[in-house]
Parts: sequence; C-alpha cells; structure tokens
Amino acid sequence: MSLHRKVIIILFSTIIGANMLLGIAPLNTNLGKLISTRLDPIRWTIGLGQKWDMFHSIPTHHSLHVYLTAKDTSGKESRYGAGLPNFREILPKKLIRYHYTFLRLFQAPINQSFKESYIKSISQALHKVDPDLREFIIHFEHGRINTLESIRKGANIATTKTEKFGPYKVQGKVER
Amino acid sequence: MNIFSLLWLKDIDPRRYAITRIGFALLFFFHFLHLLPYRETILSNVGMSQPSVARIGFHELTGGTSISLFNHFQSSSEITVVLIIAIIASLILAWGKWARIALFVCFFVQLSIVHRAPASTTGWDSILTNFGFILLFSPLGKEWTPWNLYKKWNKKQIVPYNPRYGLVLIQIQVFIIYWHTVIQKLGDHYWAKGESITYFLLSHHARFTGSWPIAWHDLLDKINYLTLIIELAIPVLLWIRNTRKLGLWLGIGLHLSITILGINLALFSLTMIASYLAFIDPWVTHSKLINSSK
Repeated sequence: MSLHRKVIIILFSTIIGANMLLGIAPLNTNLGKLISTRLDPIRWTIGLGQKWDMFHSIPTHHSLHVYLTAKDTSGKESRYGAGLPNFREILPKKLIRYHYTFLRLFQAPINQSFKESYIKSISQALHKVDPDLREFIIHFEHGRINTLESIRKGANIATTKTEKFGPYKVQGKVER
Repeated sequence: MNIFSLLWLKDIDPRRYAITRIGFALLFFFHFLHLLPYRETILSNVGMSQPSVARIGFHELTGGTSISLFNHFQSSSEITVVLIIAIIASLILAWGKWARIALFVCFFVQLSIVHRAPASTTGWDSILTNFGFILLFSPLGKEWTPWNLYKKWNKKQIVPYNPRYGLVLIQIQVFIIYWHTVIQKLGDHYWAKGESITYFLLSHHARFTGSWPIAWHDLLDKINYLTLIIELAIPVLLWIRNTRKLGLWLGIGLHLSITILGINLALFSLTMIASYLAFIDPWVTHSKLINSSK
C-alpha cells in the first residue's frame, strides 16, 4: 500500500473515530449539548449522527389510535382514518413508524413544521374527497400506562385519554 | 504514527470484510422491504408532509442540510421505483459484484429516507446509516461471493490482506451505541427504579398482552439492572478474543429476547446482531501467523 493511501486511511479513520467517541457524551449534559450543536449539522447531513437513546426512556404508552372527524356544510360529521393519501385507518402497533411519527408530531414541539404540513395535507386531501367538507378535528387517543402500584391494586393497565387538535379548515388550495 | 498504523492498518483476512458486507447487505434488504408499506405516507408528496417542509423540518431537528433523493423523486410511483432499486442493490451488494456502487445506492437511499422523514425514523435507521457510511470507505471483500466464501471457508492461504480500519470503526461505533444508551438509561426514572422491563412489557411494544408482567415484577426488576450490566459488557466481551463467544451469546440472547417479547423490533435486533460480524474472526489463527511472519 502506498504511503499516500496509508495517510488518507489514517486521517479518515481518526476523524470518524473521534466523531464517534465524542458521541458518548449524553445529550442532556452541557458537554453533550456543546458537541451536538457544533457537530450535528455535518454529522446528520452525511449520515454520521450520534444519537443513541434506544429505550433510554421507557415507553409509557399502552396504545395509540389517531383518527379524524370532518364536518360538512350541513353539520354532518364523518370519520376518516389518519393515513394519507387515502385516509386509511392506521394501526401504529402493527406499523411502528407511525407510532413514532404521531407521537413526535403531536407531543414534541420541535416537530411543529411536520405537524403543520400534515394538517395542511389533510386539509387538501379532504377537499378532494368531498368539497362540501368545511372543518376537521384530529383525535389523538392514547392509553398511558398506570403506575405499577395502581395496577397491582386492581386498576386497568392504562388510562385512555383523547386529545383533540383542531378544528382546522378544509381548504382546497393551500399555499405551501 | 505507529500507534495509528497499528490501530487502523493492521492486515486482516479479507473474508472478514466479506461476511460483514453480506450481513449488512441482507440487513439493507429486509430494511427496504420493511419500508415498502410506509412509502406513500411518509415519503411521497401525497403523504403526511411535503418535501419542501421536510427540508426545513430536517434542518430544524438536526441543523443539517437535507440532500434527500426524495426531494426530487416525490410521487408514489417514483418512490416505489427507488425502493425497488435499493432492494436489488442490496442483493447485488450481498453477491459482491459492483459492491461499491451497490453499497452507495443502499447508503444514499437510506440517508435520503432519514433526511426526508426524520420524524418517522427509528433507532436502527441511524445505526444503518452510520455503518453504511463506514463501509462505503472500507474494503468490502468483494471478490468473495457468498458461494466462494462457503466453498473456501476452510482455506488457509488468503491474499491479499486488507487493512482493518473499517471493522475497527464499526467496533468503536458498537461500543458507543451500547455505552451511550446505558449512560442515558442511568439518568432515567424507570431504569433507576428497576421498572423499565415491566413497563416495556405492558407497553405498545409488548407481544404478549395483559397485566402478567405485574406478577413477575420482582424478577423483571432484577432483569432491569442485569440488562444494563449486559449492555455495558457486550462490547468489551466482544472486543477481547477470549471472551468473544460469551459476548456473542449474551448479545444475541439479549436481542432475540427483545424480538420475541416485543413486536416491531426484529430489525433493531437484527441490526445489532449484524454489527457483531465486525468482531468475529473465524480465521484468527492463520491471520496471526501471517502477521507475525511479516
């Protein structure tokens, strides 16, 4: 192997290795935040993001169901699934990415842009389905696991709560 | 310089790269298959978000710049074609011919998915993207097709040798993944109280539903702490040759348990198990002889 090639390999490996080792600092510490702020734009652009928090925060959701209700001009209400483009019913338990997606959209403010885009996409798609529809609500039905102590004493595994987002207007032409 | 040379450039049997390449190629294959049902909803312009918004959202979440293929290929049919090409590329990668090009296709499609739908990513997306990047610049043992590898598994004299930097980088990444997650878990309420496994088995991830984990909580409490110890130990055990078998057993056991007890987590487990390929060396005795004779 040529010296030139050896130097390139050593430089490449040392830089990539150092980036990984810097990823050991937890993101909730000042050092972790500082490293993340400086390096994340490059890391995530090229595919070397260092965010390893699998199951560090244990899931407290027992179930999740998201659906829509829309009202037409006469006040008649119809129900739709939350899956675009066809408003099919989505079962996040079977397709885990939807579980993460909906939780992030509706419970993590940092995903606000994606949430707004989803609402706009629903608005447009509903108008295509039925131009008489005027407004819609997103129902976010999630079962949060009760404390182990209360389940031991006879409570249900989870308490289901429905949060409603909206009403939002159904609009055919939405400026993106 | 000598330390760096020893760390990154030490020669290893190219078949080690070949088994890692084949393992990750199959992982990409199953991963892209798994993405097919989601493609319209999370990747297309008739789905949950528009590509223009995804570019902004990706920047807001990571500070990075979205260079996703799916900013350009936006319709359902175009996305289907891109994923099918990625599936074919993963099979070509496993075979070994045009491996570099095939890996580039797999990596770039995977990176594009993360850039297009960061709100829909899972833990194994990041792992696959990282390992894909490392392998892209590593030897791939591409002269070794699965068939050649099978036929010449026991062959002693293998030349030329490859520098080991690619596999060492994957090994470091495995270390960081396990240790970082344990450090995070130590600061978490449920892990600190020994309740994490019980909650996991009551959650939407649970394959066997019902309140049975409550009755088993005393045992699960101990498994909670044991899991943390195992996660800390796995990379160390894998690193040391004499304890590698134990590391493999523990790691595979942990991830198989996650797959059996949880649903939707098989790909995560498969990803971590595939990463162990960077540690294993079935031809170790021969490599040592060659290196010592140099």
